[in-house]
Amino acid sequence: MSKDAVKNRKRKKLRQFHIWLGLIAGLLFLIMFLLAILLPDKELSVQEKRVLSSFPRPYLNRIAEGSYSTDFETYVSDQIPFRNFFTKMKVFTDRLAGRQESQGVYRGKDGCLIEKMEDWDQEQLNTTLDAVIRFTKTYEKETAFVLVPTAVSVMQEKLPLFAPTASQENFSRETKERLKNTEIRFTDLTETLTSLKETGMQLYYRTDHHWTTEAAAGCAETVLKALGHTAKLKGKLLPVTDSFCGSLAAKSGYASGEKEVIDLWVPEEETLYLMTDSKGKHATLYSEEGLKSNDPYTVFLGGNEGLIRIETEQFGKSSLLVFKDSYFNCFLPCLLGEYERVDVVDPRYYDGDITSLMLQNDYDQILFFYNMNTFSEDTSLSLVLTGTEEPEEAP
Amino acid sequence: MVFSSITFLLYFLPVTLILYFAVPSVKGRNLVLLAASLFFYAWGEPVYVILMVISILGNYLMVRLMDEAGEDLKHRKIHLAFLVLWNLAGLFFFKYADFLVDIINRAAGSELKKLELSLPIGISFYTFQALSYVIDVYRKKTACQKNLISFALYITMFPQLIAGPIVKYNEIAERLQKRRITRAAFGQGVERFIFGLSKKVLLANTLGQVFTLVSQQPASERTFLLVWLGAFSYTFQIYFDFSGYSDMAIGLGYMLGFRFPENFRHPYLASSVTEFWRRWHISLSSWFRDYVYIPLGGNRVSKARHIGNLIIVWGLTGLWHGASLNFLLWGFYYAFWLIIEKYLLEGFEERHRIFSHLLTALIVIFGWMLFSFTDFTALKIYAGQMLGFKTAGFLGKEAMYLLKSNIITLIIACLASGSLLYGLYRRVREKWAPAALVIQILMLVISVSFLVYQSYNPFLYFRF
Repeated sequence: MSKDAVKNRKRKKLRQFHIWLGLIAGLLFLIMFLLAILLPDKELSVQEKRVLSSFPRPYLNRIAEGSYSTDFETYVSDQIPFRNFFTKMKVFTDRLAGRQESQGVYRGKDGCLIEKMEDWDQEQLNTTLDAVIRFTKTYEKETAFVLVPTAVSVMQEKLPLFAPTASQENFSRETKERLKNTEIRFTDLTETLTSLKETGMQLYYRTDHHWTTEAAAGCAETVLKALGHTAKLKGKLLPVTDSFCGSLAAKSGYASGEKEVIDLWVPEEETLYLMTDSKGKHATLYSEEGLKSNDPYTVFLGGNEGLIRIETEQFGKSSLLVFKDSYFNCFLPCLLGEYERVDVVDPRYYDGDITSLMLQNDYDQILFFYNMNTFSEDTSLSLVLTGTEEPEEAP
Repeated sequence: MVFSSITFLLYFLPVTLILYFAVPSVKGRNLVLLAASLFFYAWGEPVYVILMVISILGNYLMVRLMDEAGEDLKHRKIHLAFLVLWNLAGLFFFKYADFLVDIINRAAGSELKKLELSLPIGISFYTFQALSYVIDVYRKKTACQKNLISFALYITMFPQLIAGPIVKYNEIAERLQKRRITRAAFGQGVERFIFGLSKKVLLANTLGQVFTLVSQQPASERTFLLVWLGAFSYTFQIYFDFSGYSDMAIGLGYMLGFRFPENFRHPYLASSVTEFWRRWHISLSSWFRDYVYIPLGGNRVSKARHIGNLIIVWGLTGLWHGASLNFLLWGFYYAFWLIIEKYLLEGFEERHRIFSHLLTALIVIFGWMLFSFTDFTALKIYAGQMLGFKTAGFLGKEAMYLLKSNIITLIIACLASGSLLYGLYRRVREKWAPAALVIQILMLVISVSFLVYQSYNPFLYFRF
């Protein structure tokens, strides 16, 4: 074959290639476009657990400002056909490119997900702790303050190489320092959890930011001691689901398909109790509805409530007021053996007046119970404790 | 609207192409394309689109008047002067007025009020295109366009409207009247577009995040490795952002039957600053060459005049990039190196190829830092840290983590700014075409997934 003939053949092949590419890409664009206009809009994303945006009304003022185009882009991105496929594709590509972080969640060694701790705002922390100190001084109750470390410090050997994170050790030290010279008994569960870890216990979920019920129960005696109880804790774990895929998997988009077990902790000597929350009275702390929902972790206390009250039949024992985040939800059963009544306030959802709550109930003890990650970002506790709301005027 | 958006890819492009190819005649297609382009512009600039329309009508009418002056040179000159001033006045008013007010206030200690107008998208690009048309008609290098639709299309055509390349009128005049689109040319356009989209979305956006992270880090915590990582990331970001956009424009041009000039030719392979500017944003440098540098006399003047010309041209080039002192300095910075190269280092480059290449790379990287920091104190600290002054150590955990997380992207960026990766792709395309098809489609899908992911926003009511 002559040189020209070879060249010609090459050129022809190249033309063929471009014709095919144009055809395939053109078809892809056409199909995507048709699907986008023909498929009905989705209201909810199960994967992201949120309402997707709907077609933005073309208001003249939005158009003139140029903000309509942003609204529209949000809408079409939310409603693009195969959205879940695309988001998975991105996360997968990132992993191939050596990135082990998505939305503040690290994909640690052996695939467990660990939430990053961000640098905290020292001023905010001081405000919160000062509010705590003032509150305990005002009411003169026996008070314990418990901080639970999260996986980012207890399981730090599982973090990706060089992964930066704020130090929970320092955070705990700062908190302890601030509470020094007060009557508040400060407890950091790091030591207890570290020794539990050595027994091979799974302390945290691999797909969720919570600690496991087993870890919580393992820390119960330390917490009880801080509250002045010496009782030995006896109970066992009861698995209620084996298909839990938690918040970190959803948040990060790292979908390994991994399913986990959620346990409940059941004391050996069962006591009867009554739980009152905004939905009514229940004879159980657990929500079957929550277990079946797309967030099975709400099996504990039915999710987060502003105020719940648990009354047991251990008459004559003391009463306790707890300020907490969701780390407390699976821990609560471990405390019930020692109290006649426990009131649990989650400041992020509480809209009542704390002063009247304190005046109406003569609590024996107060407990603050937080994981370090949430507490370092919290802004609601100091607001609830100082009571920003105007006191209601007497009629 | 921008190309790297779901609105463009999912709706605007398919609809425009369907309408465009549904109309058989060139005149009809021009009309479709003009309507689409005006919509494209108005989508992001619903108010300033009027400004662009005024600019089009004014230039169209006045250039026709100038053309009708025929051989009357005096008349032509008056028309030209008015047109140039009119075009520059628009650009100056919207882009540079506040800059001037700021300088006056600082120099005289006065308190003149700023206009605080937002900058109309693409005004620097379309003003320069209009000027090239005006001057070329004056010079009789090209015939005056009698058809308003064709002229309006030249100014507004959406592929190059907001980020270039700056197309000169005579480069496109013929195809405004007559063009044929083959299926293969369409496919070529698609290929180019996908390369551009991937450069922008996968490389530029990703490395842009690295630089943002680094520059947001408190200065006292930045290590030597971190500042260099940031500088490299920005250097690649700006290249892939800009050249990716040009690739998409050129690709879209192919799909629609136009040929736009090349804008970048692997600028980071340059082994001298002169060469760098022959490879970087070619359509802008050639605009300044044709309409400023050569009319000033270029290099065919005395040494002093030549140096003066370089300083003027590069000062203007710098200012074209933005109305701020650092862009002006960035322009002078290059004028300085070009003058050094021209008058002191003649022949040096041939004798020391590798060294010249490294030196050029350093000059360019430091140049980008000048380009990116509008705050001089911040710039001084950052550049100082790049030279090893006042860093928080050498490596650092944060820097190591960023490096580890982006090393693959950086390596790909490195390879993609040369010609190696494209050569490899061409070999695959030649030997095993289906694989190249798969690569292209994969690049498209991954780019779209990166765009979709920007809206990935799980609501975690159980977050706490």
